[in-house]
Amino acid sequence: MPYGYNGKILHVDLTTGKLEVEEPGEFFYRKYLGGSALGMYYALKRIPPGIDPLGPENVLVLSLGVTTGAAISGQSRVTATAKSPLSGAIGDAQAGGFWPAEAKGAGFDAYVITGKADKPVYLWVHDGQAELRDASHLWGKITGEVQAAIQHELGDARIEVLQAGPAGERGVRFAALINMSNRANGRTGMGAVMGSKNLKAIAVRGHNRPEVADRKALAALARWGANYFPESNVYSMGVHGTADVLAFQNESGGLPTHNWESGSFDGFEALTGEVMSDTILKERDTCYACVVRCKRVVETEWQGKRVDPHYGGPEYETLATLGSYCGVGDLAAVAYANQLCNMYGMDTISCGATIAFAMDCFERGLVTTAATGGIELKFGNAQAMVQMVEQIALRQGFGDLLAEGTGRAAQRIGHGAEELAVVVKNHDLPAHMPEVKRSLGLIYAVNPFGADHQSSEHDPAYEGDYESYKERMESIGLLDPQPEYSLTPEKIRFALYTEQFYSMLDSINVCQFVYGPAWHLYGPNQLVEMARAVTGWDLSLWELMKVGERRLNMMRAFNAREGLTREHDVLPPKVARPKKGGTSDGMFMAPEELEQAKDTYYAMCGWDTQGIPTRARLEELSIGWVADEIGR
Amino acid sequence: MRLGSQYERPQSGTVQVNVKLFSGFREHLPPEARGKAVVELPDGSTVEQLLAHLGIDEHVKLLSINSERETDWLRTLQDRDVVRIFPIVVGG
Repeated sequence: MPYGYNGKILHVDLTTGKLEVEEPGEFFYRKYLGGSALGMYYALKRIPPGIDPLGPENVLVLSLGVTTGAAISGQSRVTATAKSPLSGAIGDAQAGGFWPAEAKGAGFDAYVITGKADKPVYLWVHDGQAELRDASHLWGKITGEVQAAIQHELGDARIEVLQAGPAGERGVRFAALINMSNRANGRTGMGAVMGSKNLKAIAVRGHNRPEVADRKALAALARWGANYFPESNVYSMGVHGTADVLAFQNESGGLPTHNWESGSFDGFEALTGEVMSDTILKERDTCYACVVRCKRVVETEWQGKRVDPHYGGPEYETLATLGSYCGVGDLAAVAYANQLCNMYGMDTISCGATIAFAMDCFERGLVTTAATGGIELKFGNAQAMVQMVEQIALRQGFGDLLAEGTGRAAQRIGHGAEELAVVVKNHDLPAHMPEVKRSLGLIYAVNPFGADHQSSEHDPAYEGDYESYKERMESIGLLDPQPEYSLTPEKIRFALYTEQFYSMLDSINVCQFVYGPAWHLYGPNQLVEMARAVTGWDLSLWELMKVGERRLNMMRAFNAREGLTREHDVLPPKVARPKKGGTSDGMFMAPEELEQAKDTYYAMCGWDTQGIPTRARLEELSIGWVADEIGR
Repeated sequence: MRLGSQYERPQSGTVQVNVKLFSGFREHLPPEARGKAVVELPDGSTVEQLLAHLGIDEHVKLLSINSERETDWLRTLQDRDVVRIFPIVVGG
């Protein structure tokens, strides 16, 4: 068995209760590596076309990476893959924390979960042993209680728990998987898939992680990272969290506000990472073995209700979606809403964005107090925002409609509400704006699981910031930075290469703040060194990038099989409307600009004009079997 | 040149500028300032002189005056201008 792997994949059939161990062999691992690429292999092989994502036929894959659990920053990650109940396209989400490293020691590289249990169960995995246990007593409970109950009944406080919260049980289409009660596989509704299977949680404990090929080389890289960190670009993110970027986003006109009417928010100063550090931050938290410590732990009160440090603290995205999107400049209210999302198990991005959409409808008279049960769902109403988070999680009142996600809610509301839905493939846009980052707009449109800010490098790295990262960017062939706000063929090449790079990161399964092509703690060549040290394989950046391409092509093939084509790769109408106020006043991204860019992008990818991979392209990536799957 | 936390009656021949520093640039002011200061400079002082006064010699990613982005560092500062200054900030 190659270094870095357990060499075992656990197949769990919840319908029959049968557990089976697969031992795939070195060739398989080197081709699909782990994380998202490995998850895609099983998604394509095991999920029949056209199934209901919340039905028993859907397959949920939880996969670790080859480096997961190694003693270096940024490696403790888990990927969730399944057909998304939000989009109907492929779903994909990553999380950090201590669960992934603990799971690696528990003996398996991935879990492939099919079927549906006839009553609630949880999976208990420890040192190579696995069993399904009754979870009837845990059903309906919030994440913190479930974690404590499992640790108590199994008699070990070091057990890590990944779970679907009450929102996942109720089929909230953007329900998340939560581990440690504060880390989320947030996007694309993976919590709803797990809940639909009557699988409450996966508890892991392990004492023996796989051997690393070259411990000395890995330790040297880890030391280098720890020494370089204080002068690195991610140092300040460690100090102030991901919200370090919030004030800058506002000042550059890129902080989505009032459901994307504007890129600047008058109340931004209350929501910055710096203010969080100065006021409610209790401590900085970390993922296993990481020096960055970007995770927040906050403690405060909002309207007499405690914000409990157990549930962590808000990220930038959360402060934007539950804050500026909704016009709420109240840090304590956002921290409380963040806690609710972690307690109930929901994606803070889609949750906040869906509420902002509903507020937009309310402001325009498309939704009234008759529908909301008397709630004045106006921008800036923190009380209403928090009420809606709770209603969505429990599928109560108007929240039951919003639990279906922005796209479905817009269709039900009608009368032009669709024009206010800021989604791609029903997946809410995260808090970075195509209006000021053109290539990101292209990636939002073409990304297989919908708009995502963690699927490519953002434009400034190939614009004004380029000189700061020149050497690293050069190492992946990006030599010619482009003007601000441009979407030239060269900028599209940047978007594609960095998309493939980020796809590779999700397949080695490492943190995209720690490893990357630009501002990250470690650059591309160090990533290769790290992967070589762990695996002992004579890996190159070229070979690893090909895994990234393989993943993206498998995802596009999955979508093609579900009937998705070019017409689904579009940005929402709001992005094409001039923004109001701030430094992005009047800015927009026109559909024609996107369509032209798509032509170039698809051709660069080796796809047809509908954005579907050709057989030759799939054969070039050594995955000809995928062409058979999609009838090419 | 003086640094304070709020506007005072300006001395003749000077302007007072409200400075807000973000992210890592906050370390150019004492911790208790929390990134905010009122800076008194001679009349006619420029953005460049303000940066020198604050000891900011690293790459400035973005600078705004009264919420409008400014790239001309020879621009003359006016009394009560609000200047926000950002280094490269990442993540999110």
